[in-house]
Amino acid sequence: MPVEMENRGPSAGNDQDFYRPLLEVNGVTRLYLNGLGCRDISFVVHPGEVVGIVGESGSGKSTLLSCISGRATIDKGSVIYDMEGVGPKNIFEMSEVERERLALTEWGIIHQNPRDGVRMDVSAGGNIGERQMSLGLRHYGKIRQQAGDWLEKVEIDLDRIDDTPKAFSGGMQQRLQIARNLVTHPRLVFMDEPTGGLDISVQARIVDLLRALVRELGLAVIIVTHDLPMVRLLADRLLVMQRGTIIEEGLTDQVLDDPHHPYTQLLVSSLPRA
Amino acid sequence: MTIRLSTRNLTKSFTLHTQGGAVIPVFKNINLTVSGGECVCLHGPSGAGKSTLLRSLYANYKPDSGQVFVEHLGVVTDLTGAKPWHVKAIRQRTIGYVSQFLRAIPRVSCRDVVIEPALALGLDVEEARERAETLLNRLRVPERLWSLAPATFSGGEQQRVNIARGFIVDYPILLLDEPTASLDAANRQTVIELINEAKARDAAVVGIFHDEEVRDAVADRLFAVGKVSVSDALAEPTKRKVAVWCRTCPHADLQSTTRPRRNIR
Repeated sequence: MPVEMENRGPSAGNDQDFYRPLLEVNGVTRLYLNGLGCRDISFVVHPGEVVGIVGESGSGKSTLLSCISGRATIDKGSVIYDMEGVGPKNIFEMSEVERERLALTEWGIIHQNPRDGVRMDVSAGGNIGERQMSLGLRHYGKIRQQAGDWLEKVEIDLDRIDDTPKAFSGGMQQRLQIARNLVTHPRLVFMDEPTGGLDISVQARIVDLLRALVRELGLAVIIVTHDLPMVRLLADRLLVMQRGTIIEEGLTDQVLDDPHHPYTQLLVSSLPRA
Repeated sequence: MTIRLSTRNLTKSFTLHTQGGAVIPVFKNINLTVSGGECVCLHGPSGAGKSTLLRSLYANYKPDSGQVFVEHLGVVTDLTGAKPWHVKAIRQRTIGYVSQFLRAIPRVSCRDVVIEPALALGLDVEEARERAETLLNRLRVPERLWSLAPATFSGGEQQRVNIARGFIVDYPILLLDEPTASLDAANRQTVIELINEAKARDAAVVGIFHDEEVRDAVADRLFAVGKVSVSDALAEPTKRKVAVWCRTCPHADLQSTTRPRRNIR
């Protein structure tokens, strides 16, 4: 006969600090006049955790990302971020200046289109150094040195350091955007379709790069995408959105291998192999 | 003997919303208990739900009801009710799972694929690399392949990379889904050794082994998985009886009882 084993609860015996959320999204609602947007969204992100948000176009996932990264206002709810040395704070109760500072020091934002996140008329080195300079770093040699290190990390030739990104391919521009965001070692990075619009071989390179950097820097990431094979490789957890709400969530492999909601099943079954 | 893994009334069905909401029951009220140093072979015809059970033990599939208890860092935890980040921690340290197929990651070398679980656990890079190379050598993966991405490897080579990856961490619980399916005799022997070494260090092993030679060499008992509910008491024959029981199942029978499979992908 099976011997009874006593369940002492999932959190017993583990260090609690690790399970303290870095970001807590509570009942966030933002609706547009046409009824689209996101509705009553709640979830948490832990330090070092990669959370994927998937769903079709118009499901509200990009709206949600704009809201929780403080780039759009919300109708209802709160977004609590655990600031380094300060503690949990609602980002919508911060001043504009505080929020900008936060975005510069502890956050990174990677846009789908590198043009939205990279300065096209500033050299690659200047792009990478910008965040450091705005944080008060003035030592030119050091900034340039780090820019060089980061170009190497994202596999861009060092002799392109003085070229402007206008002359770069789409994949290179995206890698530059990643370097520019990660150079100041943010704790949380928001990504909106980081591989969208890139061809497959370039995508693989970006995914590989992101995987390595997430591990190396212990980044927490919220990544919005509809690329399921990519998100399987990157994300620990998935949120599936449809018509503005989260309809299914769980560990990435659970959601993709044993989807329960009809829409998630449809999403997964539409792929040759997710 | 320490119990490492135990299920209580585990029940699983699939509801296929994309196919008219068809419900496929897989198993019902499974009570399985596995101790350290023991290897339990899930047994039953193709389609009986062995892989589904194994995946449920890894929290890859979500059971309808029942619990899966595992001992993680000295604490007994219900996997079915645990938070995702807690399941992740349990998988990193406590439960290893070797599937039949390697999920190759573009551009990641064979050596790095094997090392990854050790690094995720925080093992020293040099030590992890050494362990990986020892395993790859034992599994006869030629050294010239180590720096290449396994996507282009043969089925058997990929399987061996997968096994190395599954054995690089000394998990207290090991779940093996046909680990020897596409291996030659010599490599099958190596896998048998690896499993027996895991048992010797008191790991609890649950596996699906269609290969009789492997099953006889590693399994301490069979656990029947079928359409009807099974209890642990049903499946406690001694090792010798295990072999006899297997031989009484004609192969043709195993093939003819194929049930409708989940087919949503």
